[in-house]
Amino acid sequence: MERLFAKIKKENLDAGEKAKIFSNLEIFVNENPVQKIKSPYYNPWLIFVRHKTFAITAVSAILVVSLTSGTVLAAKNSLPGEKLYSIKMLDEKMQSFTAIGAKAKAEVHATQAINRLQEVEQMVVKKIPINQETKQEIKDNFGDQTKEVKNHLDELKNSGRTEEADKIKYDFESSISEHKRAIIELNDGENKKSEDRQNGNKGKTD
Amino acid sequence: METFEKTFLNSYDLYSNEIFRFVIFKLSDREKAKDILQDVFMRTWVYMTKNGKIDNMRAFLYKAAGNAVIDEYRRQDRRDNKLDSLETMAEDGYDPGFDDTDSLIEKLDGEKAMKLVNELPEIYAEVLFLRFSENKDISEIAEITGRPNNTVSVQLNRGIKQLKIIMNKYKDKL
Repeated sequence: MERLFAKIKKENLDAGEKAKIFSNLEIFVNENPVQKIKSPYYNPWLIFVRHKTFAITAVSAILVVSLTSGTVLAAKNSLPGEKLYSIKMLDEKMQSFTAIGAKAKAEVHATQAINRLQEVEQMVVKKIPINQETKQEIKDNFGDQTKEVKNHLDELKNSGRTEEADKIKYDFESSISEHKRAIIELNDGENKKSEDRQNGNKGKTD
Repeated sequence: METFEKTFLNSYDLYSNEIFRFVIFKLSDREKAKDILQDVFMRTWVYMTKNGKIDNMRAFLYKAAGNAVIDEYRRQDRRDNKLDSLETMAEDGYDPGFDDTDSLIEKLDGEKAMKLVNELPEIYAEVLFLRFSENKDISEIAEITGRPNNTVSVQLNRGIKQLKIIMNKYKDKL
């Protein structure tokens, strides 16, 4: 059987036939050149068409960044009890985390402490009732921020930058004094409670 | 000359004879086989200019040649009226006077050997040709024909058995 197929194998193009077809193909190749494809870098938009993964990643990144920054921006004006307030808190944490050096950290925490007082004032102006739980949260946060300010100012002083520390302390205290109304509001609940308690006792004795 | 074009023309140099044999084996017409061979390579070049480099050029050429042969069958409305079967050859007075299969093979030229193998059903003829004439292994035949390895093995065994029967038959007839 191998001998039978060996005979078949001898069926080849002869040199002349092979050369003729080769020459025809050469002409055909020259007449039909490879279509030159422009580099995608000539048109930056083409890269999105050619590389789907790149396009998806880029669009997702743009979406995430725009949605995140948009949300954070919207959250900046949110008040305690509102849906976006937790994002505002998260953003503040990120700011204090990314601040480098005792001075920057003290300033960030001072600003955030003042933010709490401003929020209370805005709630009062907008006549948004502040329940005891919210008040306590604000007070705790204000206390934490103030403590952080103090710690970083001490750090600054210890490193010999007393003047810078004093300036931040002065500005911080001035800002707090500008928001006395908020402090009164925060303490109002407790004052009212004690007043109520006192009045109640008075009524009983009367 | 560009590398791309060089690759293509080198492929012609490398594979033209085996693709030519594949086509002539199926058509039994040398002139037609040359036309189809040229057409297959031209179509391959057009494909390359649009889609880029071909990973397995040999398998691609076999597939293209197979399709071109099928087109030719349709044009000729054939496989029923096989061109020059060995019976026709006998009727035409071709009488080498064989007394066994060895001497039968001895007396056949390449073209007639192809006709003998082509007496088999086409699926068997094709795998036998690829296995014994082109020395392809089972997996290569499977890739070229688009059939599973097991199917190719079975077709190969059946083809060998049937070819032996045909050879014995013609040994007595011619």
